[in-house]
This record gives sequence, structure tokens and C-alpha cells, in this order.
Amino acid sequence: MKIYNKKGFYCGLTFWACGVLNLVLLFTGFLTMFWFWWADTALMFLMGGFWVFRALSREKSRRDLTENWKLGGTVIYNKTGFFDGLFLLLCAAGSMVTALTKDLGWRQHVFTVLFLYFGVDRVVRAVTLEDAQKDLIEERDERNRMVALKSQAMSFRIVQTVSLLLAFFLVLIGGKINQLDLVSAGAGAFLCFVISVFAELFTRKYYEKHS
Amino acid sequence: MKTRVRELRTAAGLTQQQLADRVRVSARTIISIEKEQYSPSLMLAYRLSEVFGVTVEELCCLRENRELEDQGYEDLQ
Repeated sequence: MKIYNKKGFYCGLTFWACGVLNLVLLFTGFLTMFWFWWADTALMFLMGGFWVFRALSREKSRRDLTENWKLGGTVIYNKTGFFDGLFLLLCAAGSMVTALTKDLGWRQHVFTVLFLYFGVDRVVRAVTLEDAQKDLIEERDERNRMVALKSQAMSFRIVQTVSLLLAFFLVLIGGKINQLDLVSAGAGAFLCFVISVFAELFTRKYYEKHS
Repeated sequence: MKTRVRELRTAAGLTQQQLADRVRVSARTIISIEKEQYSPSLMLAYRLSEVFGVTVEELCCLRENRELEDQGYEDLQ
């Protein structure tokens, strides 16, 4: 089995993960058993399957990576942007439906408006040639990529250091004042640190081999 | 890394945005190259040298930059 379109493949996995999250929220009672959520979950699994199987097909992946899609008379110039926009619109719809069944306060309305605004903006930009070109240039720009890599690496290092320091202090203070809760929280923070160390080791080994 | 991008761009009468559009990068990248904060990739250097009609060696002052780099190593010894 070979993945021909990695972006599409991970996009599909993300949809599946969202579907699983929906199911968990439904069965734990956070989301009301409402037809919309079942439809939404089904849509997530369908979209996930669509992308994953498409990414495994050589011919379809070649077309996805090289050709623009046509939706009726509209050409989609930036597929990633288009699907980002659709995802945000789906979130907005989800937020609106939740508002009908459960009142989560004014923050939810703010989120709905933000989801709608950015969703529509992304979709419109993806089907407008000039804006799509600008977005693609920004997305593929080598300096932007370097800045993203550097900031991600620095964030990782900060999180790793903070987890270790937090673990140390929580265990130390928890042990001094005999608070098992603090010691447990410290153990959790230490687990995060250990995971980050192993993640770094494995990713380093992977990139040493593939670069 | 020192380059001659600003000098050649001004001589060609191009704005930073126009040059960025020609080589398909963001204007911010051109600004950073001109400020010597960012070294362009080989492909970008090639695209820029094509726009200005010079060689990559001339655009990126490779001889001068190599001498500076060598000086750094010699200082270590």
C-alpha cells in the first residue's frame, strides 16, 4: 500500500478522527442525540473514506495534485483552502445546531460568527483566481515555511522544558505538603516530557533516514 | 548572506512586490533577503538571477561570501 497524496491522506484521517470525536461526544451525553449530529458524524466518516481511498489511488492522486477541480461552473484553484473553508462552515453549522439544543452562553455565538466569517472567506478566496494565487504563494513561500518550522521547533522546546520544570516542582511541593493530587499532576507533566523525548528520538531517526 | 538583490532591483526599476510576484515568493521574503536576514534557496537564487540577467555567483556574491566563511574557520584555528 502506497500513499500517493500525503496531504489528502492526512485530511481523510482528520475527518475520521472528527467522526470518532463526534461519536464519543454523542455517547458521553455532551451532544444531544439529534439527527444533525448523526448526519454530521456520517458525513465525517464518508469524507474521511473519500480522501483516504483517493490518496491511495495513483491516478486520482495525480489528478488531485496537478489539476484544478470544477464544481459546476466554478473552478477551485486552491483545494486546501476550499476544504479548510468547508470544514469551518461545518463547524459553524454544528455550533448553530448546538445553540438550538443547549445554551452555552455568548462565547458560542462569537465562535459561530468567527467560523462563518473565516469559512466563507476561505471558500471565496479558493475559487477566485487572483486570491488563490496569492494564497498559494504565501503557502509555498520558502521563508514562510522556514519561519513555521523554526517557531514549531521553538514551541516544542518550550513545552518540553516547561513540562519537566512543572513535573519537578509539582512532585517536590506535593511531596513536601503530602498532597497526592499534586504528585499525580507532576507525574502527568513528566509523562508529557517523556513522550516528547521519545517523539523527538523517533522523528530524528526517521528524518536521518529520509533526508 | 550578502546579496546584490537590492542594487539590481533598484537598477531594474522594480518594487519589492513586483520582484516577489515575478519569482513567486512573498514580498516579505524579498525584504528579508535585502536586509541579509534570510539566504535564498538555490532555486530562488536561480529565479532571481534569471530576472536580473546575471549569474547566481554574481547575484549572491559567492566569492565574497565564501571568503567571509573561510575567514570564520581560520579564526577558529
